Amino acid sequence: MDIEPTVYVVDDDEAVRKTLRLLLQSVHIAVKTYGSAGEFLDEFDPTTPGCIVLDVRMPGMSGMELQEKLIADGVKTPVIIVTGHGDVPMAVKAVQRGALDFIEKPFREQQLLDRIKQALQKDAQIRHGEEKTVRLRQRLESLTPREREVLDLVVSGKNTKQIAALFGVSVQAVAAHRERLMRKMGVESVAELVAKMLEVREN
Amino acid sequence: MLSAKPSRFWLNASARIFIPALISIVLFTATIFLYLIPAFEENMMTRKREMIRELTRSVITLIEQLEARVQRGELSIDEAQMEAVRQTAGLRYGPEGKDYFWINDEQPRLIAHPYRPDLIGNDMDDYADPTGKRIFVEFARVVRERGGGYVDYMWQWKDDSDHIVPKLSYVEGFAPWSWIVGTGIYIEDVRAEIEILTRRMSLVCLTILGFIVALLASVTWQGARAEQERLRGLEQIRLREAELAHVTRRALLNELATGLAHELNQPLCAILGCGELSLRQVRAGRATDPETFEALQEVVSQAERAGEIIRRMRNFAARKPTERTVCRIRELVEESLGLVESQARRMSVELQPRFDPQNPEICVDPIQIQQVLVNLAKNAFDAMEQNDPRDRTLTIATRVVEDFVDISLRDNGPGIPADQLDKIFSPFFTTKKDGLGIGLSLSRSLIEAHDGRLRVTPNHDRGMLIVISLPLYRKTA
Repeated sequence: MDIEPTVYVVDDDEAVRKTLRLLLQSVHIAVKTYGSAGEFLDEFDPTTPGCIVLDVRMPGMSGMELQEKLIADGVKTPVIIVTGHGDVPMAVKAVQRGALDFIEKPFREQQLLDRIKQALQKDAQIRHGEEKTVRLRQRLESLTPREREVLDLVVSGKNTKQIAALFGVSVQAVAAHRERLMRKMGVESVAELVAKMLEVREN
Repeated sequence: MLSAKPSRFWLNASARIFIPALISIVLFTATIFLYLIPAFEENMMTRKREMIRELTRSVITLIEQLEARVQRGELSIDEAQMEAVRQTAGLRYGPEGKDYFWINDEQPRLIAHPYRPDLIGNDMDDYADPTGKRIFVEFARVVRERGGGYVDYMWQWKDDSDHIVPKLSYVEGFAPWSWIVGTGIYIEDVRAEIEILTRRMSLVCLTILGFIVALLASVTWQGARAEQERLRGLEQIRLREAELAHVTRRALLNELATGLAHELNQPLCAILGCGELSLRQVRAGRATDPETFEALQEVVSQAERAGEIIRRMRNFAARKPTERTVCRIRELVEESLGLVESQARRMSVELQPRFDPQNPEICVDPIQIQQVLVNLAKNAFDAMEQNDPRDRTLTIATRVVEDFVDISLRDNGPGIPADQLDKIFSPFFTTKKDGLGIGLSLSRSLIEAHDGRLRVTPNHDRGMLIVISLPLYRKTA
């Protein structure tokens, strides 16, 4: 799962694309540049790690519209918005919608590289988190229906006695279910179990 | 351009005023001198001829009466003939009372002549005028053959025997006595009269000519003054229009300013990025790497680009006297597109230039034509604002059509309702909330000032099609 992250640059200005390409290459970050939203969408694979650098103003589909489409498509790759003079309100709107940050043209090299590194980190986190969630889901699926019921009640704060009364079975039986499900979920304590379940719900 | 106009005026004036006037004067004069006067002369001669015939006839009547008295026995033939000679010799007529009658017989012998008593009784058989005409033999011949008739010859001027002039006479015979009576007129007389008439007519003609010339001069002068006024007015209109063009151009530029600032950001962004990269490379001892070279090259070309954007804006905003220069259509259109490119990007409009492979020359004020194109392009952008952002296209095409080049702008906005189509060129008509309504009418007058045309038609599907036709530049012109 160790694919090198790529920075996708979408800007209609050739000089700006070239500059970003040179800059990122010089710090050994893989970069792909696109002159329009359409070109980008044709080629973009959301499963590859990286981040997207997006100019807000473009003929055809603008950066704002592209961002909207990515959100609608459930793409989680972080987006950095690049704006020109006087487009700050638009950039703010993009950030409110979930863009990582915005950066105003003309920008300093360090500013840009910092944002990009941040974005790549965030992307890695998201992808790592997703992997963990996938593993948790697999564990959850290995539970029997009764074990799952017990788990939900444990997480909602019920003790073994209360659960036994609820089901009308012996406390020993509930304790056995609980022990099995804790083992299957790979947790040592109830606190750990609760944390994991919260993580699953978040994602 | 201004010096060419007065000469065109004079050319026009001579075609419209002088030539017709000249022709009518020539016709008028020719009619008088070539037709009226000769006709008058002819008529006068005819009258004179009639007159001398009638006068001769009356003398014959007088002699007939005397002969009648001889027949009645009241007079002897000698007495009658003496009486006839006496009476006839005393008869005078004519303007000076010096015209007279003479009598000779068929021999021919001169019987009576008031101014040549020296010849009376002489046989005139050998008497000839300076041209060699034997006058009296001729009289006798005419009378013998026809009883009477006209004869022309040379004779002394009335009572002046030194002055020999052409004369026309009528002679008639009186058979019972074998006499011939004649009287004549001097052709000089007629000529003199005709000359007087000609002189008088000439004077009249000259007076009329003078009058016409004065009239023409006044008309032309007034025309020239009106023309001058008109030219001055036109010049003023042109200046006002240039002024208005400048003001609206500034307003247009204001509207474009945000976009142009954004436009400037692009090269600045590249310069800053590549500059910093180069610095970093140099610090790291990689000054000679190809990446460093590439980055520095980008710095230079983007600095040029930034300069170009500023030059273009400053050029457009400049208040320059309107000035025609020969330029290529493609460069002109590209320069205009350069001014609206950033605005197009801001409004998500795709610009589609399509140039005729022929790139002809036109002679125009490039700033004014750019202004028209920028204005029309901006109108098109505004018109497409309601469209989906992915459906905003402005096609700008050039095409050579005979002696003109057409620049067409086709948008795919909603277009203009048919009932408003004829109003869009009126000043202060606008469909925009904050529009002044000057753009299109000014655009059209700027194009028409270049001897061009600006037409607006709805597209067959949707949106508007605006076509500007400008005359091609002719090197010989």
